[in-house]
Amino acid sequence: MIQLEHVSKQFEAGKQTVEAVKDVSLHIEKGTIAGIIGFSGAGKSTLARCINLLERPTEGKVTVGGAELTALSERQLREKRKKIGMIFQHFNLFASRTVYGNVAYPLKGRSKGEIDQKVRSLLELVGLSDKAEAYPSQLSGGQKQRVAIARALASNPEVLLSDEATSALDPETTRSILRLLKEVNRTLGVTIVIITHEMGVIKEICDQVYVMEGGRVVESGDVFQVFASPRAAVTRRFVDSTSNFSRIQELLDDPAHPIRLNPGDYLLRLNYLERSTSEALISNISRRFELDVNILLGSIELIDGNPLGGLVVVAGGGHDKITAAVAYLSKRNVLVEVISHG
Amino acid sequence: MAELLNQIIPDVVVRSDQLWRAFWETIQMVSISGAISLVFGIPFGVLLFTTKEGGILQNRPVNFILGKICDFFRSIPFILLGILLIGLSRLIVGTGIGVRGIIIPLLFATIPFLGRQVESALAEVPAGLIEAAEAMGSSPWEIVWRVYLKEAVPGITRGVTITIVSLINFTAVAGTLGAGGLGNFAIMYGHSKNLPQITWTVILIIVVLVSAVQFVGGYIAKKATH
Repeated sequence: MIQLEHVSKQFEAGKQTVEAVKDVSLHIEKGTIAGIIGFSGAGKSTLARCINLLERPTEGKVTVGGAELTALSERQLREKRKKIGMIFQHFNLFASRTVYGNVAYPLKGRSKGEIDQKVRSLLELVGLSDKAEAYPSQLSGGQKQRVAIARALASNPEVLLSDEATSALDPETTRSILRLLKEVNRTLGVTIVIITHEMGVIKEICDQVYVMEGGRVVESGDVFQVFASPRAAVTRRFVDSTSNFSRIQELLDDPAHPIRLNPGDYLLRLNYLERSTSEALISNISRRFELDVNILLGSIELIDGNPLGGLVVVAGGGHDKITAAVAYLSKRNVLVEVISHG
Repeated sequence: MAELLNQIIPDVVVRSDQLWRAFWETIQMVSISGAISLVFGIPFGVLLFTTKEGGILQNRPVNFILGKICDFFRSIPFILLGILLIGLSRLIVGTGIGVRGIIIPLLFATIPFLGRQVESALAEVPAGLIEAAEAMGSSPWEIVWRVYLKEAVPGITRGVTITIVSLINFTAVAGTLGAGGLGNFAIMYGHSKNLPQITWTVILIIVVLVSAVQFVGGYIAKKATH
């Protein structure tokens, strides 16, 4: 549905040239929800804007729905953009128009009856039928984003770009907007691209994920795979940010030393892959290798219906026994990482 | 009432016919040049804003030239602008005096003024809205009509209000250039014949006029803000 080939985007900032996107190629299948995640400045918003050519790439080819956008004239491009909806972090609703007027904006030129029918059905889809005559300033953030979604869907787009659409919302509202996006994806078959800096958003609804850093896509794949075995350091940081594992480093660095490692103790992180969660692994290794295992942190997540979890433990019993235990765990599909040792 | 006025401002009552005529001339000058200024000043402001670097109709030469024209006419005090444009006025409307003769100089003063007001009103429309409209496939002209001008109604109304207030100010100055109106009336009698009653009456009328314009402008701007 969406194909980017060697897309780069440079900005001239005074005498400096900033390369926001560097040689990105990606392919997003029709009907999927793809996430693009990165810290601020990673280039993810610029990349999203390259999909509908709000930013024209300096190099590379952008193809959406079979049409090569980078080869179109301005007029043809405007027609194509009607098939690519977009929603934004700050909603970007027209303050001078009512909810109804905002949703009707892209429908100009159609008959009154047709517009009315379309607007009513969209407002019903997003659950705001009773707010048709309200102005955006009278709505909450979540309601505004719902109006923005209805407006973006008015011209029956094939693709919906969501640029940090939940970043200004509280967690509860974020979840409800994500549910709505998922529903839009399922019922209307709209391909959705979600730009975010929150791994929780990716985890919640995406099928595929692209991790960006310094203008490049450093890692990509289906969400479970990326969560289960993140390769790039930045991906690991994002994955950790959704569980409490990121706290282990804080605990280690804390001047109060809440974690004390005696000589011969190892601080290990065990990542459970696939079905290994159901085995009594900790009891096993402490019995087999005569280890003292103290569990500090634990977490299990459901990604795409698959359990994914891990533990952070302090294992005591000496180097040799621990090495043997690590080998045993690795055979059972548990990824072991030594965080620190005493 | 008439008796009372006759006691307080006899100098004015004696000349009430002239006062009415002067008042009517001022209203004519303000409404005619005000209306024409709207027709030209708003598009002028739109062009000033949209041809800027990064604007939706970006065009550096056009923006540069429009900006210079604007600044040139805005920097000339109205009394000198009136003198400067007498020739042009004769050429266009056939006379350089009276209400007819002052319209052209008034336009050259108010159109650039209103243009800048409109420009800053448009600058207040959040850039995100333009981006959203572009993403929905709107053309630049559609964005001007359906986004900029619609979203900026409160700002433009405030700009128009300020423009009309300064237009009233210009028409008083125009009195010294043979245009008639309240300014001329005050200068002829209040100043030259040393009749302070005339001066004070004219001041009072202009204050009421300006307040009325401010009130109406403020009301419309408030109504248009959602």
